[in-house]
Amino acid sequence: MSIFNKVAIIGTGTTKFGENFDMDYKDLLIDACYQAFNDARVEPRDIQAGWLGTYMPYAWGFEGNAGNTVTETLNLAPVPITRVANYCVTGMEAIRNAALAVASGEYDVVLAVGVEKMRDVPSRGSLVAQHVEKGHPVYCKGRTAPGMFALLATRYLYENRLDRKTLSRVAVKNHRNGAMNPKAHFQKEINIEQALNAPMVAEPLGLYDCAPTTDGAAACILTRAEIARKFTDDFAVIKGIGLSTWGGYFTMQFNPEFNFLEFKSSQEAARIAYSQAGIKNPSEEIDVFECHDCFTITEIINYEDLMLAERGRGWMLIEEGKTALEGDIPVNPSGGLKSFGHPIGASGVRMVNEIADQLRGRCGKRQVRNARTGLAHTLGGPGVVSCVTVLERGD
Amino acid sequence: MPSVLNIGTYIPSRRLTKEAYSNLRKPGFAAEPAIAGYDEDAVTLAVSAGELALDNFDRNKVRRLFFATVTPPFLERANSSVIASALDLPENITTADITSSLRSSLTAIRLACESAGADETGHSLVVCGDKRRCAPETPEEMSFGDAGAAVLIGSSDDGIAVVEGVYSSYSGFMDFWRMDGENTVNTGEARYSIEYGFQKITIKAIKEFLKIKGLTPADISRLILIAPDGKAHRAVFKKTGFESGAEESEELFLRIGFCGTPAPILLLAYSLSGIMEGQRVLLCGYGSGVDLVLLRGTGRGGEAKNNLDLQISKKKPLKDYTEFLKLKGFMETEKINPFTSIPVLAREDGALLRLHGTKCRGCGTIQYPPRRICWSCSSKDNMESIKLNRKGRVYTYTKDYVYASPFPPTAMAVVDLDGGGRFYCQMTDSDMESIKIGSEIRLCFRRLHEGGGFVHYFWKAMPV
Repeated sequence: MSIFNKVAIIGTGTTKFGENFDMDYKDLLIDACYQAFNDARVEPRDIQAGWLGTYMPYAWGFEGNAGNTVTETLNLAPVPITRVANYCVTGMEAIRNAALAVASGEYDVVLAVGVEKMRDVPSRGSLVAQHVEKGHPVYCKGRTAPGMFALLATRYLYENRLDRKTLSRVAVKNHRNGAMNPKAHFQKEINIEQALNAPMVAEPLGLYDCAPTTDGAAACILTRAEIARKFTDDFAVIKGIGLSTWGGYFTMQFNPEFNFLEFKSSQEAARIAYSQAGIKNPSEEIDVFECHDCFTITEIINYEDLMLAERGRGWMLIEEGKTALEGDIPVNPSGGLKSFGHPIGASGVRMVNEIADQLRGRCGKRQVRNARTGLAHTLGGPGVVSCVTVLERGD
Repeated sequence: MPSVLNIGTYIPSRRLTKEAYSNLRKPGFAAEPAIAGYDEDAVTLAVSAGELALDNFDRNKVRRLFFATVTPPFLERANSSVIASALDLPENITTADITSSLRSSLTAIRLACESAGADETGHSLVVCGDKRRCAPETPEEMSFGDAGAAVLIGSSDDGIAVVEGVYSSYSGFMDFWRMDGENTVNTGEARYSIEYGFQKITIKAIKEFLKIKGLTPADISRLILIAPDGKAHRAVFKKTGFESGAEESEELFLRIGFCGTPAPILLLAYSLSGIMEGQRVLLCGYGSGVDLVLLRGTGRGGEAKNNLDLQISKKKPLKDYTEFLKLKGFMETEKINPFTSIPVLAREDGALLRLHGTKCRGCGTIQYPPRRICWSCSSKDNMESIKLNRKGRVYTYTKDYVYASPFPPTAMAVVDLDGGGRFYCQMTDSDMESIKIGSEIRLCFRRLHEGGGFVHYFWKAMPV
């Protein structure tokens, strides 16, 4: 029994992403959820269960570390709400759990919401501190999030005889898309010289190769596909959703089986989702992609892991412009994590929302024409967990 | 007879040269002291030298480890225990820190010789290291060098020198001192200290020892003596009747400075190639008294000397005085406050300090950190402990500007170790431009950071 065609997304809500210093965690949560309620034409009391994705309850260490943060903030008691966390896959994991619960027949209407309030602490305190000050007392010390993915960039550029310019093209593309997205953290185009001349973060990754530290929330309402029309005619259906884990957070770089050129978790998650959705040739059968571009190198490797390009050929897609908004394989029309921002727990929901909105023709200037099938992909930790969701316009 | 089986030396490559020295009173006679990395201390310097001394020797034969230093990182908690683990020595051996005097390295050699008869096949390892600090802008800056040295002592006859006698005297003379809580060395008035301290006390001890042994300077081909100021030894040579060896002492001082407790051992290694079989040398260590060791050469000291010459020749002058201040810890740079857990460190001592990984008995895969379930064939609890090779090649790397360090960027490398296993760590002592995929590296024991109020040691990769 597969999840194929069993679950529909009937409402989406995404806050403005950015440094939302005037909003707290709960403001973000409320705004995303009420947008989704309104879109789905449901009332809060219609929600039968909920899943909250928050990766790291930064500010107090408690806000968002259990489902009760949603219950209390939205006054939803006594509805069952569960917090999930799976590194950067956290948000999509909330959707996956919600979708499986709906598919099981236990619930009719559920909420999946991802929230991350990262900028109540200095940006160096949120992501960087994870690696520098937390974790094992000595293993991996000196590792930072950009430093972790820079190890892949170094090896990938070496294997394929490329230079940093190829990476910069991803940043230029995603900034261009982000400039058309009123909710994106960055809404500014950049050129290749700006990207190349930006300060170095972790060689060969410069500032524009890295996603920012962002506040944001995204929510969606899921229901059984067969009753979706009771709420709205404008919805998206989940064709497949696959999760895979491979390797450990503090041991990935010690594993000789990891070649620093691919993420097996992404490959397996894609294999599951494609098989459920009956997709044989993703670049032909899927019209629009949101993938996890935490760093520019990650997007290029995603092309290969999602089977949009052969192994070692992913870089050609960006060089040839195929993944631009107008290209054959539009990737990250939203601006991606690079421009939209990456509030960790929110991102996975935001990406599914973006695809659902693309399929429903709601994306304004960044709309991919005639998008009927779309894919959202997230990757977590040093590439040790991945989730792929394939959606289709409901009709 | 106890004998010196091997000597290991370790000289950091950085040198404080006149160009980088800021003091306008630049002295005419000045050394180019060796300056340790910001991530080195007496313990890591001693481990680096100890590794060389143990090269090709069976570590299971080591029954005693003595660590000599005047700059112990831990004042309470044995530094020698950390060193013994890092050198992967057996767990049931004697370890001791012998500290507080600049001659403590020779005191340790004496103790090692005296215990050599206790178990005929057992060896004693003396390691020493020092990273001394004087106040910035004081003249001592141009003489205080950092180094490590190690001497392996056993009862075998095929060593590089045989020990024929030892002598000790003590004195509370105040020429160099440091009170608890102080981190720079105080010095007495220079000329008085030299004449009434160093010279008077060593002359007396040498004369006394020769009398006891019934020897004259003519029976001894070299006096191995280095003065804290690099030149005061000349008067000692003169007044005790020795002729040979004074130039070597000066030469070594000018190249690396006076390196604390390792100084006399470094000079011994430096002089070894000139010592023929059967020739005697008198090794002298000064500081709060004197320790003397009379050695008879076997003509086999060439390798230790070659290693030392190579280390001395790899000289990298510091860029400027700021670099010096940062290396010595006089400038505050961005701080981190890493998490620690004493139970975790205690539980994982074998992996973290000894660098032991696991090897799957099922499929032979070497894995680190140690695992219970094989990540290749999934067999459970079917592992044997294995010591990882310290050499390997860079598989991939980055230079990270985000991580706080006194000298950013921090190079991080994924290393494929010779013989199997992969390691991921910081790189150190590397010229950033020279790091490439495929570069040969060696793992070295360094200070990683301080967390929870104490230093954490771990392994870093340095270019070969």
